[in-house]
Amino acid sequence: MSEKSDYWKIDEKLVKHVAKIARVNLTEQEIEKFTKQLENILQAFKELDEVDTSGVEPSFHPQELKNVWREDKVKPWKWDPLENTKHKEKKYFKGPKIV
Amino acid sequence: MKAIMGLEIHVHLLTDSKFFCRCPTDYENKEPNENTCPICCGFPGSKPKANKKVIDCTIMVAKALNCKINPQMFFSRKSYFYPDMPKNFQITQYEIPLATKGYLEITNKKIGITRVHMEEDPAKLFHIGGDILSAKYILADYNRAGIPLIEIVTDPDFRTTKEVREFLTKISSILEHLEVYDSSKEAALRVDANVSLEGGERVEIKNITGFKNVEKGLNYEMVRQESVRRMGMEVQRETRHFNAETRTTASLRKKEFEEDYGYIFEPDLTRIEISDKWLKEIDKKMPELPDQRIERLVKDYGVTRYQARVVVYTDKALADFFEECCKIYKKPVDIIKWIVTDLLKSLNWNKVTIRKSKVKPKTFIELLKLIDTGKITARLGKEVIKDYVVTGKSPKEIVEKKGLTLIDEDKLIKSVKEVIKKNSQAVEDYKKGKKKAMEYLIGQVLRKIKARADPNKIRRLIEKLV
Ligand SMILES: [Zn+2]
Repeated sequence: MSEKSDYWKIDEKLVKHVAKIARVNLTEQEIEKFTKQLENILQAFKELDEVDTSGVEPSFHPQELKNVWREDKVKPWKWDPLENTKHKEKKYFKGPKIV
Repeated sequence: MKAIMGLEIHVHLLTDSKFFCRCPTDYENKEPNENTCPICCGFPGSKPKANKKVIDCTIMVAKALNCKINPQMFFSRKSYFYPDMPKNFQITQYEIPLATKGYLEITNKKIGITRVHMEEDPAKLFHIGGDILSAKYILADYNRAGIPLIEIVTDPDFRTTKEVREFLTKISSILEHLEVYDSSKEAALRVDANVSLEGGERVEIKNITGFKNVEKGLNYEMVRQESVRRMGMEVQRETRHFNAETRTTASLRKKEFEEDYGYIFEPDLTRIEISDKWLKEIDKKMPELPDQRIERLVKDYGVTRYQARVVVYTDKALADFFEECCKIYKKPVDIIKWIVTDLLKSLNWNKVTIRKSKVKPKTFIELLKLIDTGKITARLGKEVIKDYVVTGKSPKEIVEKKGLTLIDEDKLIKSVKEVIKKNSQAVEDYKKGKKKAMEYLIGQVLRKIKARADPNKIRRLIEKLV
């Protein structure tokens, strides 16, 4: 929902930045490939943006839903949360340090 | 140099179940990862559903902080890649929070509240083989992941750490009176503190637990920023970590990278509409808040405003304790005097809160009655209270076991006579009109009889016998 008027403009620098935030390692060829693909995607959004939607309420769901919630009741889930991982120690999940 | 400070306060809300799943929130004495399910572990396809109590509690807090409550709001996903959130996003509120533009008054000042919103807590991480910066790897416990948090963001209105402390004390008391927060739980209140020196860049100190640590962190950071400037360098905009053991801060990351959270609306949750009817229901549930309580204690019990503030702000349970005591013994002025002096001193000395201590209204009043009926002196009462706070035993029993009851008249007269005989110089001084000499003589008698008589009575005896 960017207010920026030039959001469809994308270059390799931006793709590298997004990859860094998403913690994905990309090769130079991949960066080139994704820059083109992302450009196409954003171009499609630019076309959508050209449609006149003044007077149309924004919608967030296919169905109009509001105030769906539950009461504060506990029901423990019976499972072994560590069953599917080999990255564990004692009863903890083990992971990389990231600062 | 002028400092500018602002706070982001995160508080665990007291609910039975987590924010978006039905796992219990009570993680004390639980195995790691015992309170988990596919929702709070972020399994693909799992679907969150909001706990209504979290919204109710947050509305109450927003009202207590004089905020404007948005009639309609959404949840958002804050994307980041860190092992404390397996979904790779945290459900929070961003574009439209529950409430904005509030304030809280402290001495001679209003602190602006920028926003109040709800979010889920991430997992607790343990850094293995070093601290947060030098660890080899981390262990994650998702029992804490998904516990509802309320985030209170202030305007950068603080100029001193004294103001920060007063504000935090007040916020904590408000949350306790709303019964949405348990102050005795470790990490139930965590603070991110922003600080900059006038004209300089802002530094954020992340994740400080405990009020005292917030002050220490801010004080350290102000000194650090000043010395950076003195060396002719610029303070850099960054996030720092506070180390409670060394009381210092260390750089975690530079700021610009952090702000790319790529917020999007959370499509798995519906929008929330807060009707006037709902707000009126909450109004009915709003309890008495600390400031109102202080005024009532002053008015109804005739205690001083200072005493009322001490019992209310120390701990809601202490104010409750005072009122319980008043129900069974109608001497509020005496009761509060003992609470704010010797009882509080003993509790602090033993590092225990009133709720976790063995002190109970019934036995505490028993002690006051022993003093009031002249069974023991007030001075001995001060001694008994120390034993009582530790053991919780009946003060009557303590007094009897220790033989602390008053000595009989004959023995007292005998001791006074002995003291007069031994201290002829002091007696002379007293006769010449030196008031201090009398105090000295009383002190000597008290020492001799181990304080087991009323000082006023001793004074009268000395006056009679010299
Ligand atoms: Zn769960």
